[in-house]
Amino acid sequence: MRRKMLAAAGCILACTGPLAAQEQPRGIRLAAPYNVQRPLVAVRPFTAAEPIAEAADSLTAIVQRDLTFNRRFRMLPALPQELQAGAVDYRQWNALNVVYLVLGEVTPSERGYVLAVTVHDIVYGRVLNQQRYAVPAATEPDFRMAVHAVADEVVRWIAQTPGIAATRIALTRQNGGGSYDLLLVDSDGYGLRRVAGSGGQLYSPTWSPNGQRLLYAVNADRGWQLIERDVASGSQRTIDPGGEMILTPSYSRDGTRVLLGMWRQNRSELVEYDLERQCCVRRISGQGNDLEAYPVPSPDGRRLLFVSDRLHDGRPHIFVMPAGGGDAALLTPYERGQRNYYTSPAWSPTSSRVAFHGHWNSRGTYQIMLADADRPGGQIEQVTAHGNNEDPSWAPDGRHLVYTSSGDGPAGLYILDVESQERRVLAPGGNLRMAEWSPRLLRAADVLVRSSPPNEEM
Amino acid sequence: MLRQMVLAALVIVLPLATCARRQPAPAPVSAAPDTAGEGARRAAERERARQDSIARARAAAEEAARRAGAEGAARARAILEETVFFDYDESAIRSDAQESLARKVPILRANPGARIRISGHADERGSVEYNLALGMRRAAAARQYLIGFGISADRFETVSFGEDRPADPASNEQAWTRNRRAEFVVTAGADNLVMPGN
Repeated sequence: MRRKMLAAAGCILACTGPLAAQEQPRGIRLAAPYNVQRPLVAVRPFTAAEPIAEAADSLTAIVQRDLTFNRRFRMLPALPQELQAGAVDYRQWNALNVVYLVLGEVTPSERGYVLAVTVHDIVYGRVLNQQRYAVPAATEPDFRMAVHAVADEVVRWIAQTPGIAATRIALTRQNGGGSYDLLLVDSDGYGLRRVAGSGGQLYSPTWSPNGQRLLYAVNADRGWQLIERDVASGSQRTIDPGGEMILTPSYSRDGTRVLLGMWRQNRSELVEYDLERQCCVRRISGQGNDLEAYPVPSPDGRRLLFVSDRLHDGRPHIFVMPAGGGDAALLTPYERGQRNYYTSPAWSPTSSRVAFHGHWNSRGTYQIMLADADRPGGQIEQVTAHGNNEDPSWAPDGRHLVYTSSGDGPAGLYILDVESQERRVLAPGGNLRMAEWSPRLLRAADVLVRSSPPNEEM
Repeated sequence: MLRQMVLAALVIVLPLATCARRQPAPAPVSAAPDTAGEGARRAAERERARQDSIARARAAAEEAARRAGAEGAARARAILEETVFFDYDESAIRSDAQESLARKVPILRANPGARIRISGHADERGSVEYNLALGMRRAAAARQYLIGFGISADRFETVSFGEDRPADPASNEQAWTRNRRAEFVVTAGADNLVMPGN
């Protein structure tokens, strides 16, 4: 939707830094880039016999870009001619300050290619790891995801934690005529496509924990309902938990239940609904006239984030409470008289870090912030500062966020690495909203060629 | 084409109608000897004219009443469907909105068959999903205010469109002011609305 904020408003922090810093409430600080030395990585063009040289080029390009987008490494921008092929001479690479060198060899196979990947540790002068993977032909729909899975494994070899390339982002689009679409896009921005639509509102897509199903809310002819879609087959079923309005569904961590905000009998509640038995709305929270929404379970499923205006200042705030309901602790800063607004919480898949968006006075634009669910009332880190930034969702590595941005470059969906503060456009378009990052959809083990020789780690 | 045919038909019919009305005119000449019959005939004619004028007056009065009724219905509907506005991020009923809602109350009382759908809306700022909730909250606040006057709760349906249906698509303070609103639509009993006191 159009959410162009005035450029001047975007300037509040950028142009009047010291003033803004004075106005900023205690407990919120602007994040600084995490200036750890990032290792220099080089990807040498993958080699292949002539008939599949083109495929090898695109494999190289995809892996190179996945490593770039991961932001854990600096990438060697251009390779000297004499280093483009031939035996690896560690001294030459070392002279370029390269720490890890990625090599690939592509051979044709029955169903596509075999990609043999080797990563050299230049500093120690040895092979860090090597493995062979089965990649479908470039014309196959699974081709790119398989290459992404290989790139994610290369990241794991180097950084001990896998990459996030083999993922997709679900999002919605509001069309001019009042219709809505559900879209998917690969994590590298490739293949933005419509997978479903609705003549009425289509809101809040969310991924099942295994990444195989998508759940979203629609308001068409029969009022608000949930649609659950099997991503691979495209088959879908309608789930009707009742109520006058359904808000912000989220799967339980075991994928058997859905947590959602529900408006029923003109009251707002947090409820849980059994997806397997398709029954039994169970109330988790909701007191009288308060607005409650955005239930988000912690990675271990034992706690729940949610948004409520129960402080009665007319603004949403983020709370954390036991999964079954009970005493809630205020996570976001509250100062009497301040017109604070915090909503859209997302719990990091890897830690107690919570991303959300909000503002701390009525003039301010909305910015992405981070809190620690283990320290309610503790320090808040603001990770965006320009334009208007909303609705964050974590990548599976708990380090990258996808979010809606306008007023700082073209409006659309952006990806931010909260450590390096580097960002990129995922999909331009002011009518793209409610982005949700999937879990890892394919692992290197899924495409591993089992007959390959054992790892030569030393 | 159709209009031409109608015109042609009128050209044929009109002279015939004129002839028909003039036919009784020569009668007095031919019936001159029968003076008693003539008096009765004239009395009947006067009586017919009197009856005609009464019918015309009655029709005119009915037409006037119908018009007044239609005007009243339109006026009642306009008051019932008057939009109310909200402050930024707020779902509290402002004083101007209180006045607007209070104007709806006597009309709702005078028209127990009238049912209303209240749709809540938000401006484009803030979370899309929270704005959907905020829209619902605004619709619910308007409904609650009307129920407070003793209007039956089951006459209202509340929905929210969040920020998706702005009244003014611009991105400025003036547009936002117009977009933070609750709209009212009469969904039943709209055809025979009356103003209170009628």
